[in-house]
Amino acid sequence: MVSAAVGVRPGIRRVEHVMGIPIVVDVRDEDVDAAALERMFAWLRWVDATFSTYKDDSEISRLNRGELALEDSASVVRWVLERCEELRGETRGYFDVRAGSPLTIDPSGFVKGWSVDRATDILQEAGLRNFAVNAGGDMRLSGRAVPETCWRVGIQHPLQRDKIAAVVEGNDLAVATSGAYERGEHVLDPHTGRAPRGILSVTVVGPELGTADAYATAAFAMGGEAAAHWTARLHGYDAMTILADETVLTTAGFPAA
Amino acid sequence: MKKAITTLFGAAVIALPTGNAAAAQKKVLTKKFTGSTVDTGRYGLLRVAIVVRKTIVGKKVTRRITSITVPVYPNDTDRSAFISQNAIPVLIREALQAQRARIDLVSGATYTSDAFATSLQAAIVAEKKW
Repeated sequence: MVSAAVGVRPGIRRVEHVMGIPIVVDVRDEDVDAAALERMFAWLRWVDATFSTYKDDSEISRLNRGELALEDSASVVRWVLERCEELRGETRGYFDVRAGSPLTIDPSGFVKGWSVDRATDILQEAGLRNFAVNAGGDMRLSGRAVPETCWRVGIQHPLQRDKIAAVVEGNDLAVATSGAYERGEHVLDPHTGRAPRGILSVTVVGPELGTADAYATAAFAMGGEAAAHWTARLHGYDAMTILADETVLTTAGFPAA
Repeated sequence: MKKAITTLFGAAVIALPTGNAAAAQKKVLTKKFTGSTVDTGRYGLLRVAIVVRKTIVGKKVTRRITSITVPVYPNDTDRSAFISQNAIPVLIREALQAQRARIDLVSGATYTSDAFATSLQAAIVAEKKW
């Protein structure tokens, strides 16, 4: 969220509001192709127009009203819903596009991170190497924070807003945090419909943000130590869970600085 | 399967004082930069301004945010006034602290802080051209 480290460094930074959140792209390469950033934001706006549950004419809204049949939806929409179904299985039902209502789907818990993964591909295909894309506190890192050798991500302390609970260091990494912060949306346990207990936040890191975000949401919904134990069995992803008593549980490979 | 278990430390980020070697030729400039006005949605408008100190020692230029103010903040209802009074001073401290310990980004942000961050980013963009 806050990126206040100033000093002499290359690159450009752009902020745009998409999907109801500020998307910040911080590029640390020299000679940045601005057209690549335009393509990236155009892609994110297209994702918003296609997947938003707040826009009446999005494909998701039309699917939910029964005006559009799944087989007539865009292939990318079908792919996303299939991936969400896989994630539901991987998370024992704790990540569920029907968590809010059994009659409607809301894949936004996966779509935000996934769209940032594809945004990262767009920038990399354009030759960019060192950049971060931050979507409202969940981010994909690429390369390094030139002139530094890596990116440093502070994990918001869940109780003390002026503190950082930990710092993660990485080069090519996705970082997603789910927690009981005072945000409009609240994660509920889809099996009980209630807020999870005994847990303050879960941070998941790994190669892809869509998956990391879904895992963080699912683990948080599990609550308490169940969340930490579940994250310890993930492949390719590591996690840090902060319990209600402020105990911090990290998996062995969690890249804490 | 193995898990490392640690207890949460109050301030995980230790600010390392930057060693300011006394140099022969040193020039210090300060300038104020104003961020964009951001609509926080239900709470109203917010705008951040920063004061940056630029230190030039020979060819080495370092810039540091010395203060952050919020000239426009949500105050049209009791609820947003409450948020402004409590959240904004915290966000300012957080941003200054993040700078000290070189935090490039923060994971796990909140609604009001998103607007704060957006305006702050815009101020930083302006500052970087200075």
